[in-house]
Amino acid sequence: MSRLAIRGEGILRHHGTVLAVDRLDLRVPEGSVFGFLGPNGAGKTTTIRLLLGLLDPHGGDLEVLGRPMPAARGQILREVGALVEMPSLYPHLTGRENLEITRRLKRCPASAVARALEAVRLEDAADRPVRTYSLGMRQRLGLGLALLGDPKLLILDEPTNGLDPAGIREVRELLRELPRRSGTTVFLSSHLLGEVELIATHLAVLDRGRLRFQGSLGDLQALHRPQLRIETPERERARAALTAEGILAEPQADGALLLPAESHAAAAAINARLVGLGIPVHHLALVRPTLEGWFLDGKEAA
Amino acid sequence: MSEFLILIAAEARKLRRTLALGLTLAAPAVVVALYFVYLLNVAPGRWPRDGQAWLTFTRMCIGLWSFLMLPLCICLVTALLNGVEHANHQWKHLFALPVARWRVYLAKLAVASALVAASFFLLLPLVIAGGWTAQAVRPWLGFGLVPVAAIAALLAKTLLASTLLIAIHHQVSFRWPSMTLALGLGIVGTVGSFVVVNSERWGRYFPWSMPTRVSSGHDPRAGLVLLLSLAGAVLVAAWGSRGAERREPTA
Repeated sequence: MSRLAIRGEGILRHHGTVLAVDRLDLRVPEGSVFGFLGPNGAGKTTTIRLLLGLLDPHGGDLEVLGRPMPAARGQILREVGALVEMPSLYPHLTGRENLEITRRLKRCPASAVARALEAVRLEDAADRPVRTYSLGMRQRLGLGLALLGDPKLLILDEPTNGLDPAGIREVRELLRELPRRSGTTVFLSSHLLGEVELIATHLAVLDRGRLRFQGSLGDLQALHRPQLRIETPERERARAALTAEGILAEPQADGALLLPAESHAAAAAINARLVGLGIPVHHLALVRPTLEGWFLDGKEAA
Repeated sequence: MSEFLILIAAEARKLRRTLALGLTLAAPAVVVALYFVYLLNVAPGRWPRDGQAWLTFTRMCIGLWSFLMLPLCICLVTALLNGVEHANHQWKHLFALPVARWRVYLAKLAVASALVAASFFLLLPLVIAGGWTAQAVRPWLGFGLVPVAAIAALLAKTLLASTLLIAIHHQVSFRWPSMTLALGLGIVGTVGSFVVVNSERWGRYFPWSMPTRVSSGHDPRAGLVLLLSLAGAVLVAAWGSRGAERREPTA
């Protein structure tokens, strides 16, 4: 079994009477890109704050990089870079000055600033006050702050917020590259399954403070099989024909039929069969369940 | 370099292009300028001819400074220093760095104290320059040799008497993001000082009155005021540091 960068057992955290994180067991393998998914308000940011020692857990055990959090907070944070929610920046200072302040507090070498600026492509804007930056540039500078000092663990809360498509692609490449290049473990939260699937090697899904799924991308894909959506004016005939073939088609509220199909070839065969029986097919598509559809409608998979 | 010195350097860097440094320079200059204008207009019969021109002028300047300008200046400097973190959601970033939170608290207090001290240090040359210039224009004012040591001692004692005030305002600005609260406390304290400063019973215990009690030279127990200010500042700083260590930043 690979070593864990983050290990949480039964982590509990209340906000007043609300249970924000409910007995969370978290296992983040070292060197992984770990996608932490959930809708807004699921408890992702609270979990991230717990990981960074910004909040103390009300129960359970939490280890980050092999050390107990919050007891060893100072030692842990030396090896962690983080971007929590929107980037925290001093708008009256330049990008370089913002990086310089954090570099000194993290005691990184002076060259770290230039490396961070290069990594987030802000060299040209480095000496401009941050108040003149666009939202995307601020987000990139926030990432640069997190990257200072080559952290062993990078914790990012919605890191692609505010970025344009090209910026999202760059960040994606950067995050995918980090574990390979420097062994960094990347823990990133998002509410977009499709976005995380493109870079994550491991995933967890949180809903209302509880873990609904945790595993590798392969585990998720095994659960997350595509379905075939068929729209036809003769739905009941089509359904009967498919049932006769041993295929269970589920009628949808919008009049379509949904049935299991593994591949495009299977979809084509079903289409040919229906058309052969004289049943017109208006629309046929392989669809993937959304995050909300799969995990958050009560289909627990942990 | 120790973590504390790094934090102080970081705080100083954050003040670039803010009003804090300008305020430090402008506040004492405004006070001396007002009394300089007074010197240029005062009638000969209303100016004491007792050979104490320097101390009279210094007490005038420090009186206005300690009674009105200093409390507001402290209020603004501490609010600015902590406001850069509150306004930009910086606490979560700062507290997610490998630095002790109580040191962050004390580093900000040290920088606020240094800025206030810089204003006091600036008062000395400004008072001297004001007196000399007024003497050049109106020689009968009677400014003779500058009693630098006496003026400096008065300034130093008044500065020490303001330490509790600095600690209280720092604690409030660190803990709460509201500029209104910080300024409100400063205004209420300063107005309260109008009422309390001359009270033999309460004047020396009210933080906003302490600098004036010492600068006026009328309090026979000025030593006690200094002691109370310093001890109070240490207690507030210790309490605030402990609170900083336990703080869970929401922004």
